[in-house]
Amino acid sequence: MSYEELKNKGEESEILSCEHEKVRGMCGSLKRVNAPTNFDFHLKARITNADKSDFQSNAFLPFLRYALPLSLVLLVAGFVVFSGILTNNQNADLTVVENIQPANSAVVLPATVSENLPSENNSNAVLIATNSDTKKAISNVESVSMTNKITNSSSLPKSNAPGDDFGGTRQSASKDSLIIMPRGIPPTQSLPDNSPVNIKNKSRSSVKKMLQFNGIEADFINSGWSVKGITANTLASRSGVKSGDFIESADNRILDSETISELPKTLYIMREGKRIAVELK
Amino acid sequence: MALDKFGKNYAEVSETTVPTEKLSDHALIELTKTGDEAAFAEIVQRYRNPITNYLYRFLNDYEEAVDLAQETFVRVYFAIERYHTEYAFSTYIYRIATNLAISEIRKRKRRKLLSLTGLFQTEENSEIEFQPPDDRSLPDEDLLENEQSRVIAKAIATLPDKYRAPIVLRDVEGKSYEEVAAILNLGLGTTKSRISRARGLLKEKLKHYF
Repeated sequence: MSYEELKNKGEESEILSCEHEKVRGMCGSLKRVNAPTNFDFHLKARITNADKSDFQSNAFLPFLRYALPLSLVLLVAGFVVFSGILTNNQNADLTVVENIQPANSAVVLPATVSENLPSENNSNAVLIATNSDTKKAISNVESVSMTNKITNSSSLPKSNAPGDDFGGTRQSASKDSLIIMPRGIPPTQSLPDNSPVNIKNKSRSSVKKMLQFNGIEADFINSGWSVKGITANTLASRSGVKSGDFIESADNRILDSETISELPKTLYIMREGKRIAVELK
Repeated sequence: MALDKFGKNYAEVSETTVPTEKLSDHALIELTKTGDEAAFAEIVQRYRNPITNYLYRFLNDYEEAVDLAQETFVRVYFAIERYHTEYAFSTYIYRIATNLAISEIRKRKRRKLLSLTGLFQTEENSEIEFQPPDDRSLPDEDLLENEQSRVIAKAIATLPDKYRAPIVLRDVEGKSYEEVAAILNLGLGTTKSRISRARGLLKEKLKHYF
């Protein structure tokens, strides 16, 4: 059955097949081309000049295809885990420092701070440093614990360099967030704002708060403090400060209405026209 | 590896060693693995023309086809140790040639993107590179025959890659469907479908000859 006969009959499927057959015949009728006569010569030259390593498959390539991404993932995961462990260790270091018992701890105090502290607080105190000072504080505590010796503040070198962790002025010590706890007070316990410890850690504190902490209720009148009341069982009541007294100065320093730089040891009071000295103890 | 026997008259070689003309492809491969250059020369002798013709119809560029045919044999030569005889050698070598041809077409496309000749192309014949017209006069018979062959070859060259390779292997090289499927690593149904689709596309392009 010829192509024209199939087309006239409308047999679409057969016509399509015949058309495909004709396409195949046209493709097959294409003149075949042969390789040039110098094909072997050029091929020989190419084989001679070719680098065999360019055509050899790398045996490690399939391995590297998986090993490289895997190693990258492991590297990232290791970094994340390591950084997490490092963070935990830092927290653990801080916990260790906080758990040190004051009785078993060595005392390491900055020279100027220890001089300004009351004498009973100099014997046993815990020095806790946070952040960058943590490791230094631990190393100091551990080294002194091994020798089981209490380091006196006088034996420490006095350094006034700014930024020196255990020397310099009180301001530098307060900048480094050093918290000095008196005996018997756990390091984790928070102290009231009017605590003398906090007062000492501040550059200057309110005189009124200092007086209140010692049990004295007073108002500032004419360059002095008029005592209006005394709280029972306080330092002021035990030292003999009475209501109606007029505090002129403390430790030979005039008490202004605003701030005080350190805790007073002796108050100079006008009582009934007489000037008396009251030692706070 | 010495290549002294390469390109010689193979009848002379066979007188003293092995009658390579009568050996199968697999036997020639095994001999080549042992260093028998005459065996590899026989392989080249057998396949250089079919591979060149296949690549020429695939690329529609004779110089490129010869170059890639040589590259195909170079790859066969250096990868002969990795060849497994459970597959037909013709399938193996045609697959290498097909991969090289497809790589070459991709290179051409990349070059075309950067070429100014892209300015002369339209959407319809975007796969055909701009060719200046050939104004030389030819005898009428040759003109008709050459013109039809040129149009057919160009029509094949404009087919997408996935249709071009199957139809060239099937209708130009005369491979069976099974061989085409093995060379292209496709299923038999997919191969038949693509060949049918390629013929349909060619029919549309060559409708003036129907």
